[in-house]
Order: sequence, then structure tokens, then C-alpha cells
Amino acid sequence: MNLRTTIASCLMVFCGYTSHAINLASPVFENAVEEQTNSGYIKLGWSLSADAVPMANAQFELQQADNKDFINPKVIYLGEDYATFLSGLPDGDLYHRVRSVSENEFSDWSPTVVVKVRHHSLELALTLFGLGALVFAFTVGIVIQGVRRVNA
Amino acid sequence: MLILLGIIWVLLGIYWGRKAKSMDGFMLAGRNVGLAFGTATAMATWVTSNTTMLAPQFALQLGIWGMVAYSTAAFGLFLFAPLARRIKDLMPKGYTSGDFIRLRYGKAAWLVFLGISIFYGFTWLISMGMAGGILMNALAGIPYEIGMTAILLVCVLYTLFGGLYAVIGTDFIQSLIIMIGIVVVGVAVIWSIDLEQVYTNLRTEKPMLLNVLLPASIMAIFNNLLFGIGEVFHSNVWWSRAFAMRKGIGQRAYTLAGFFWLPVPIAAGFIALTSGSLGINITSPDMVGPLMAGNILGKAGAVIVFIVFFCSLASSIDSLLAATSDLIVEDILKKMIKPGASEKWMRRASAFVIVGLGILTWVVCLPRIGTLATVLFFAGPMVASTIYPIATGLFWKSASAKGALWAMVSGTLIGLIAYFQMGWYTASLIGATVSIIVTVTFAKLAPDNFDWKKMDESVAQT
Amino acid sequence: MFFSKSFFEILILAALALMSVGAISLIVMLIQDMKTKKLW
Repeated sequence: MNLRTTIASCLMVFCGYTSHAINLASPVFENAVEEQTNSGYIKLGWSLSADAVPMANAQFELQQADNKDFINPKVIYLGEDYATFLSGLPDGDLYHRVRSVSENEFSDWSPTVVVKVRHHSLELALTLFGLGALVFAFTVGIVIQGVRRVNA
Repeated sequence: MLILLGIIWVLLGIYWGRKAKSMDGFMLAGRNVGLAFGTATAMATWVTSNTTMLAPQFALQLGIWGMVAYSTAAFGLFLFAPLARRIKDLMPKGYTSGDFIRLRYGKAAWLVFLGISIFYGFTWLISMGMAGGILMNALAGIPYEIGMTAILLVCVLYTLFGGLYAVIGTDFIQSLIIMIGIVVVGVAVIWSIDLEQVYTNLRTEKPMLLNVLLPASIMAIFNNLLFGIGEVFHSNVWWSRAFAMRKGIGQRAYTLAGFFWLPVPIAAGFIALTSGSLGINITSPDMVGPLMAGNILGKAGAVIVFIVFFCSLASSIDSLLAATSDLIVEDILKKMIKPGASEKWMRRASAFVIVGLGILTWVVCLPRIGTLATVLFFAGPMVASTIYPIATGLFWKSASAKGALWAMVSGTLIGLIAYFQMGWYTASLIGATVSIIVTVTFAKLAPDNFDWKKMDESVAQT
Repeated sequence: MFFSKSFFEILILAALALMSVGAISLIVMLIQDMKTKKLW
């Protein structure tokens, strides 16, 4: 399914480009089509194809939505950078697309990148936390008991 | 600015260098360092590029817990405080942490320990050389190669001329600059933004950063803490300071340094959390600290931040240069290759080693590979596995050479496996866990009965 | 479960306060060490 949407959006980009060639070049994500994170942060980067002529005052608009059809999307970045770093994301699937914007012109949207946020299980986290607390307690114990023994 | 700072440090190095006539003076600043300098040097050395760069990165990636997790590294200093006193009592004439392992556990454990120690010292040095170049580039637009070269050159020069006197003297000034600088930047940031708005923005845009149960950061807490303890316990950077401080000073100096260091990651890190509410785009998480400070405070902020970063880098690079070269000169050259070397010869060897280390670091830093955290976290399981051979070795007669050797070897190996299989945030924890089990098992099942008098080489030789 | 707003603010303010105390103490200790000639 993901492959199909990719192909579809690639086709859209391609057709859009050929039908009105004066348009801005579309950026393309450097991330994989599907990204996984288990710590809730990820860097999204994009680039223009090498033969695209960068336009003066062109900006990138990055949209995020919780559905692949981008109903009620949020603009999470608008500016000239070629990347943005997202963090603190809760569990779920987030869809992203990016386009170039210059004054009133827009390029076509890039192919979509979905970020699947699946945090580590809390059980694993708390187990490691507990183990850490135990080892730390023993370490403090060794030092305190050692100091006492030396002083005695 | 860079040139001015550089010249000041080098001149101070030459000035203090005149005190360093003997080898004890050069390596250990005369073994008579007082409380003010002792506290400042421990605190400044522990404030590295990682504290000022990685703490904001941790805050941005792992939220509130991330900053707190970073702060726990202060426990390295707290727990080393009683050790510093014990070290000074046991080995009034010792030079390096290598000396301790050699006298306490013999040659095999010593070799493994030296391997870990030098690997760690060198990766730390590289990570800071790279951080220096990246920072100069981000803050002042100086090309990476030039910035990196400049900071290494300055540190090599003043360490070379002044030895530990110069390192400790500059550390005092640097720690004052770091503390005042961070407070000024922090207060200015709070002044110009609304913390309430920052909080509300985080709550809606990056909710997990405020979550008490963010799994990735819960895992990071003790991993980071144990990494910190491992770094301080084994590294000659801290041992040489323990030897250098006057008797009765070490414990207090390290405890105070821990308290002064504790707030630094939070005070420096929270700035990263304001990026969202200010609408500043972060393209690369390791640059978030300097980027935000420059954005919020403008040019004046950028200058202060530049000076603070320069100091935090220099205070650690100089210490590492000095301590790693001590380790190489004392442990490898004097003890392995040329026993009975004269003081003059050692002093010259020290100079060569400091310059050599500087050049080697420079060569490795030049191509700029890898992110900051990954390079250094690789050393995590290694240093964590040395915690218990050191701690029990200082206090338990029963801690044995075999136990120490196997604790270091198996802790490192299993920790590294955990690094690759489970992720970096488990590596130090697993390394430390294996190390404590192995050390204690050997001490209980096949106890040694060590004679503490053997630790003082000056007595044993006469 | 989230960290509260007041915790967030207090954490940051306390960190800055503790650092100021640290800086002042360092200067005080320096003056004391200089007076008693126990700098190094």
C-alpha cells in the first residue's frame, strides 16, 4: 500500500512538472518512505533534485497530518532550511509532505513520508530503570561501607 | 576574539609554567593544591563540550528527564570524593590511576586498564576537538578546520609550558566564566521569553518531552549516571587531581564540585526547549544549544556563548592532554620501556607526548566523521566496567586481580554487545552490572588478602 | 502523567540559583585561600 501511494505521488510530481514546466521544483525527502522511531524523535530532511534551479526567496512548507490523505494538516515548518528536527512525538503514525513556496507559486507536494512512533514498552524501560537503581545502590553501598571500614 | 582568548591562555600557561620546575610540579602541580583551585578544576573539567552541547540535545530529544538524566553525572564527582581521600592516604606519592591498578592487581589487569583508559581519553579528546571545530563554525563562521586547529593548538601550548599548574590555574578562571556565563544567558533567556508559554507549547507540540513516563529517557537515567561514575572513577584526569590536591582537601573539593556541576545541564539545557514556542527551526539536534542562545540573545549572546564554549572545551582538553600524557609517560614509558629514567628525560618525554597527542587528535578530527554522542558513548561500557575493580580495589582487601581482569573484559564485551543489540542507552548499565557481579563474585569465592602497604611505592622502594 | 508547569519552572530557576551560589562560593574560597596562603 505504501508503495502504491509512493508511486502515485511520484507520478503526480512527474505529471505536474511536465504539464507546467515553469513551476517551482518539488523537494524530495531524504528519509525513507516509512520511518520508525522508538524514542519519539526524528530528523526530516529534504532536497531539490540536482538539476533544479533554486529560486530566490523560495521557501519550503512542511505539512504534518495524522492521516495519509492530509485532512486537517498542520504546517509544522515554513522556511529556507533543508531539514527539521521533530521530538517529543507521542505514539502513532504521522504523515509528512513538503513543497516549495515562492510568493504565490507552489510546487507539487513531495512523496509522503510516514513516521511511525512506537515508544519502547514501559515494562522494558522500568526494568532497566530498576536494574540501574539496584546497581547504583550497590555502588553507593560499596563506597560508604568502604569508608566506614577504613575509618574504623 | 578567538585569538585574544588563545593568547591569554598561552601567556597564563607560560606564567604558571615557571612554578613547574620538578616533575611533581609539572605532572601534579606540586601536590599542594588548595580548596578553591581544587574545586574549580574538578568542576571545570567535568563541564565539557558535552555538558554545554549534549545537555541541550538531551533536553530536546528526551525532555525534562533528559536534562535530569544528564545532571546525574554529578554523582560521579560525589562518589569519587571519598575515593579521592582514600587515594591520597594510600598512595601519597602516586602519579596515575595506572599506578594504582598495577600495584593493586598486577600486570594483566594493568594492561587491559591502560587500553580502556587510553581509548577513552583519546575518544574524549577527539569528540571535543570536533566539537570545537563545529562550534566555532556555527557561532562565528570560522571554517571547521581552522577552529578545530586553533583550539587544539592553544590547549597544547599552555599545557606544554605550564603542565598541571597551567591546567588548574586556567581551570579556575574558566569555571568562573562558565558559571557566570551560563547564569547570564539563562537569566536573559527567561527574561525575554515566557516560561509559561514555553510549557504550553511543549504540552501541545512535543507532549512526550514533559511526560513523566517517557520510556527512552527512563532508560537513559541510570545508564548516564553509571557512565558518569565510570568516567570519573577510572580516568587519570580525576586521579591526577586527587594526587595534586593537598591532604585533607580532596573529599571536600570533589563534593563541592559535584554540587556546582549538578545544575549546569539543566541551566544550559532548558534553552533547547524554548525552540518550539519561539518558532525556531532546529535542523540538527547537536547544534540546538548554541543556535538558540544566538537567536534569543543576538550578538551579545553569541559572544558570551562563544566564550563559555571555548572555556568549557579548553578546560577539558587541557586536562585530558595532561592526564593522558601522564599515563603514557608514567605507565608506558617509565614503567614498561625505560625504568629508572631521569626526571629531565621524563619531562622531555612529557612534552613530546603532549605534542604528539595533540597532532594525533588533530589528524583524526580533520575529516569530521560521526556524531558527537556516538563516538563517546562507545566508551560507555568500557569505563563502566572499571567502576568496581577501582572501588573495591581501594576498599576491600579481598578484591582480586583475576576478578578485576575478568570484570573489565567481560563487562566491556557484554556491554558492547548490548550497545549494538539493544541500543546505546543500555550499554553502560549492562557493562556496570556485569562488572559488579564478576568483581564481587571473585572477591567472595576466591578472596585475595592484599597488603595496603604495597600501595605506597615510595616506602616500598626505600 | 506530565511534569507540572510549576515543577518545570522551579527546576530551571533552582538550577540557575544554584549556579550563582556556586560562582559566588568559588570567589569566596579563592579569597580565603589567598588570605591563608593556601592556594597551592
